[in-house]
Amino acid sequence: MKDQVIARLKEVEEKLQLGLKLENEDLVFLFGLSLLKEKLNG
Amino acid sequence: MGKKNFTIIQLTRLGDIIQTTQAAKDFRVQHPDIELNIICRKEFGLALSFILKGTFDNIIYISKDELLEGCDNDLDLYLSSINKWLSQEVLQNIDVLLNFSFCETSNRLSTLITAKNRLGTFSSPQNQTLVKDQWSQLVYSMVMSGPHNPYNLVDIYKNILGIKERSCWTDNDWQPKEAHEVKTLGIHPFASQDKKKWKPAKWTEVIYKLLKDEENILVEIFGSNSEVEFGEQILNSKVLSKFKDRITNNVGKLSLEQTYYRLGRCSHFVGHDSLLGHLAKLHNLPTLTIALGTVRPIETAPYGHNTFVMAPRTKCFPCFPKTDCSFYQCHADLSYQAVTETLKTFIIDNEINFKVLNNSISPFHLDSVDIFRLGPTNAGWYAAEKLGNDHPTSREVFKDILRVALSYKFEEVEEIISLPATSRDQKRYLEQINDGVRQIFELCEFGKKYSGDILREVSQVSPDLEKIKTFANKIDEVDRLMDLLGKTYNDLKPVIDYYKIVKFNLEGENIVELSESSYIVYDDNSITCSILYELIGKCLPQQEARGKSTEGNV
Repeated sequence: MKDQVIARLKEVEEKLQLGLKLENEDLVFLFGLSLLKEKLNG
Repeated sequence: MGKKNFTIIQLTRLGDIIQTTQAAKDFRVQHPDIELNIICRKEFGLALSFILKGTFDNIIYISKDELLEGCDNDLDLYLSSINKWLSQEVLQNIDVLLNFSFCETSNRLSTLITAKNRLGTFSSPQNQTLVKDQWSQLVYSMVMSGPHNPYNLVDIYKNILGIKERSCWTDNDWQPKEAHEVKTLGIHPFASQDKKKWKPAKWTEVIYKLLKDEENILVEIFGSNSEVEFGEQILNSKVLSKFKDRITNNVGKLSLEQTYYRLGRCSHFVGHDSLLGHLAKLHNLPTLTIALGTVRPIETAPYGHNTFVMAPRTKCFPCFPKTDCSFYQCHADLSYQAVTETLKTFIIDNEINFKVLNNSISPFHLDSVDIFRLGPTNAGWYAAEKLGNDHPTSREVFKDILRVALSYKFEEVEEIISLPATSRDQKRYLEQINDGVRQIFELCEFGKKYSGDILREVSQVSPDLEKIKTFANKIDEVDRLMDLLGKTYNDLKPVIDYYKIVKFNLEGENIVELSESSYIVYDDNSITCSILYELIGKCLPQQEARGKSTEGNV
């Protein structure tokens, strides 16, 4: 999953750099990512 | 028309869930027709379901582990599991979604759930954190940035929920439990972080001295499975062996629900800042909190009558969770002698009697400690009163003044908080602060002027873009100067930060709407400064009239 997360994060960052609005699927990804970060940090 | 639906997101820990429930209970009483739901982490919410189900219509659990279950380490499966969780019926058709957690995960969740109205932080489609309501803006600017917040969290939650009626407090109908000759003290000598709790040896000393000096006191020690080892360090101490028949060890033996009911059999409670203090308050027990490390006495104290907090006067107290500290000076400054003697008067008198303390503790121990009594103000909001003969610090005086100003500004609530005698130094401090308030006011007036100039220019038949740019630059300059003022007058930073957050969240799609909003924010800040200036000014002449010092009400 790590590689998938990195690739997806890159996509989201590119969108933000281009000033594009994030789609709902990006927001779901970011929510999932914050849960994963919590899990990693215990 | 169906029932309105309010849903609260509370993803923080057990204690925060109880504080949320305390606010929600009042909401229920005042709005019985509104459906009230809570979203919380499964590991915390399930353990507290015996309390939550009495207040909330639906408890919606979220669990990282369950979302990841069966995903076979595949991102797409994980995300579809999240989408499935989000599609549950109870998360649809929400009228008001309230985020009480202020963490990244709850911000993101608040963004994803569809709701007609949103309070608290959430993310914009541009990934910026937004917060639109004034009480959540206060949390974001004052609670998150340092120990500047003058309110208890339960009051803040009540304010976010829009609870106006607080008279349930002010009738002062609290009575101590039926007076038995033998008193039972519930103790929770643990906390979630090392910074917030004493070493077990210190608690051993407290328990030993208390039981040795007071024959009519029994002790019940509470704690979870993870605290068994610390509990044993206290209970296996040789000095406590002769008091074994007066100590009940509940550590690791009871579920949270059993702990709650067992606490109800105690007459008093003492502990560090943790869930159990809040649970004890649900039984209306008198509580004494030993505040250490990151604990902010007024902000997180158990909410109810007969609440006391002991806190060290250590310069760096309270600190931040991330502050590095290996020495724990605040632990040393709060001596076991001071706590034991305070506990005696707290248990025997149902009060903390300073006359008794002055006779029983050496000034060496007493001078490094602050003791607060918490309770409702005339308006029914929770406030701390410093006990003893010591002057409040200059910062404490200003915090009270700021509180009175904000309560009036936000809710038109006129709180009366008495100011004990203040010194010449405090007069100088207040004069200096008032100078800063005046400068913020002046900057806001400039902000208003330039916002108005933009609006006037835009309304011309052919607006001059260069002029508009110049005015916009002037507004940027005003904001830069405001930041500089925050550095010069550090205690005014909460006010400056608050309006920075308000300004960042300005409503508006175009230059006209944004300039109008900008004008309103500067005007609002001006009004706050006027109230502060007047309140501080009212304190100053009294001091002059009385010479060295005076006391009064704000």
